[in-house]
Amino acid sequence: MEKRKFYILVSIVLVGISIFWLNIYAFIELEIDPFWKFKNNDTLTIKGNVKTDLVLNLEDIKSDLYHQIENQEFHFVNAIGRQFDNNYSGASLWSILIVEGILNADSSTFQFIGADGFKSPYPISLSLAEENLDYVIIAYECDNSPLFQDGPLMSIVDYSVIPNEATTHWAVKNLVTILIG
Amino acid sequence: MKSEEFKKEKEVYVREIEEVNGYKKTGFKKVRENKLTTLDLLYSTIIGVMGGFISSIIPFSLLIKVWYPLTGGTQLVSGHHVMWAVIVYGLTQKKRNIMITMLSKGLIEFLLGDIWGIVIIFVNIMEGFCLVIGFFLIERIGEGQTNLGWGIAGGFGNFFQAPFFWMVNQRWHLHWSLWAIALMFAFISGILITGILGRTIKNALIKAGVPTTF
Repeated sequence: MEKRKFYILVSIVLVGISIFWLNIYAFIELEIDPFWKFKNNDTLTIKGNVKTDLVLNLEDIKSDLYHQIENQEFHFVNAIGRQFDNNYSGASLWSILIVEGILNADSSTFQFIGADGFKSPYPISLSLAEENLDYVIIAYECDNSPLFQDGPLMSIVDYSVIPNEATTHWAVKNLVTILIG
Repeated sequence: MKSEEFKKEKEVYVREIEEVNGYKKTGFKKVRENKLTTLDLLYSTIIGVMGGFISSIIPFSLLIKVWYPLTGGTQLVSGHHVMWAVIVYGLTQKKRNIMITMLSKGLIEFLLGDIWGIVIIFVNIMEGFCLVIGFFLIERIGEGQTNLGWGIAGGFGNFFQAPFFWMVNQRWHLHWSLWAIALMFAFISGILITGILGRTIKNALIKAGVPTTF
């Protein structure tokens, strides 16, 4: 085999192996299901510093048990300061936590994690969810339509809750886990 | 001395053309003076504008979202953003045309309301600059006309945007493996889509009779 072609082949094989193992490592380390795109991902798990892990599906979250927000306008700011508004419907996070009574006495923070490994930048105080009942939600509709590619569930936090932050980072698409700290 | 000879040669040539055809072909015989021809500018702007519309309006990320499960996977198809400049370079062999193509593309994306605003023009120019560096390097090592060379140049061209957008988006909190995969995907997409697919399209265009300017 020509030397040049041999080097090209070796490079391709090395890069292929690196990517394969990097993917495997990411799936294991981040606890990601590699086949989640082919499954029905309408379940949300709330775990961490809680009495018992809570698993809810889309119908549970839409139920009247929890405080529902309907087509409410949320204000967003992205990483370069661009501002925009969108309307979302969903259940208030604080109402879910209180109705289910799963919080421990020392539970203090929450963080959103998506099915694709994306997560909100850092845990924020549960008191923010309590004080802003209508503005920290688990959304299932945008402009009265299902979330399609971004869903079925997505976390939404209004700019007023965490001012001076890029709130788009807290809008975690394909939301599957809420980690209580 | 050489330039005087060239000027004389050119004057004779132009006179011959004007006498025979009654007009001077636009941009013809300009290559040795290192100036852009009208055709160069037309290729750069038309293909750049086309690329701008496609990059803005067609959500290529839909292709990858169907199956790739990790965040950052859309980098696998990101190479199409820079492919247009490779096609233009193939038809003109002038690196300045890469910059004009990417500037035209960036302007269209900006005017169509890209979420990054004016930053998108800077990103396009930087992508063009990286592609120029890529071509410069591969031509220095004698791979200027091979698939490998064009692939590597394309990889360089498409690589800038991935770390730039991830840094501007402040994705520091994401796991390092996601960063590594996204950056590798950007380079691979540059090789396959920007470089090799761009070269294939360029070859097909030339074969179909599209005039080159080199």
